[in-house]
Amino acid sequence: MLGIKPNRTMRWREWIILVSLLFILTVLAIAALLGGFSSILTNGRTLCLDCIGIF
Amino acid sequence: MSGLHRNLLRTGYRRVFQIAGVIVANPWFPYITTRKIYQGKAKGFCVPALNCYACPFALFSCPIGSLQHSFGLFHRGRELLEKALPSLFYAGGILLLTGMISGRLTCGWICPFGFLQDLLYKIPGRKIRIPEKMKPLRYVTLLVLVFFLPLLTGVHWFSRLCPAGSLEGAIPLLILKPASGLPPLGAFFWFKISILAAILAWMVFTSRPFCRTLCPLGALYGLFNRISLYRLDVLNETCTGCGKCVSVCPVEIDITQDPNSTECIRCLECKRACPTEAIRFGFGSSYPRNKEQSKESVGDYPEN
Repeated sequence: MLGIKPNRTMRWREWIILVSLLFILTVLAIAALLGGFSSILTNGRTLCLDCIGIF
Repeated sequence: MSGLHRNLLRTGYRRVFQIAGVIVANPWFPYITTRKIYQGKAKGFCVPALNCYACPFALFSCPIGSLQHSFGLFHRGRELLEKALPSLFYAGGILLLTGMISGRLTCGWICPFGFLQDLLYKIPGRKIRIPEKMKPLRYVTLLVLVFFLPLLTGVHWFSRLCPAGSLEGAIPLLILKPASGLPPLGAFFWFKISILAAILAWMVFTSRPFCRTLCPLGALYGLFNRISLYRLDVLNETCTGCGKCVSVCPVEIDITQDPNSTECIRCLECKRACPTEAIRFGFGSSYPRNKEQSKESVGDYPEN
């Protein structure tokens, strides 16, 4: 933190952000386990040349 | 402000980070001899900046390309639960996570295309401001080319038109042709190159034009600037209103009025220019934004 005591409103804001981050991390982890990683990997691997406009 | 942050600012390490961003995202130099685009597992990760994964040197995937791929899977309507949803959660989750932590920090510090814009703007000559009306265009790009058209057609429309893709993917592939060969060039290719040429020319006359008017990634990250953990704040009592921060801002915003503007790329040039150290940044709590709050917590200010 920046070295000051946050007031009550600021504390709440940070809590909300931290809980949201944890939620996103959880969703991300579950999605990766369920195949999100492999889907993006397949897309990255098989990226066709027409995708970059050479045709 | 910590010693590390102060040193980073004093020595202008932003350029070092930007160069490192280019190298870390594109280190596949074996392509020069093998002429094979990297297809290893690192391509399953997205870099948090606009970097074309068709670049022959790219090691990671582009987050915007991956997001379009996810919407494209929905269009095809197959394996929704097995592929489309996990893909969207994964690609979207990486973007949300980056946005929630740092907002547009990556735009100012590691984006290779942003770095190019910074360099081209240094070419001396007449400079032009961006009309206010053009700035919301980036949201149109995000909604139309990244969300709706891939969802409706299954085609990566932004990637097809992306000037960063032309510069980092198409042109290097033409110069260093892959072992698998290239299909013949068509009219669409030249259309795409024309877009790139126009935007490159614009970069000479206007500061960060692509980031401010067209970049869908910047548009998305910008939405998080106001709520992200990483924040900027202006200490009203210390600010003298000299305007130096405004004069050096690459996206021409008045940070004293809106420190966490959706346009701010968090390059911290304002911080470097401020003679009174009125601009603060860091993860966590904001500094008080008005005099009443300042009086309440004046004893808590760090001495630096």
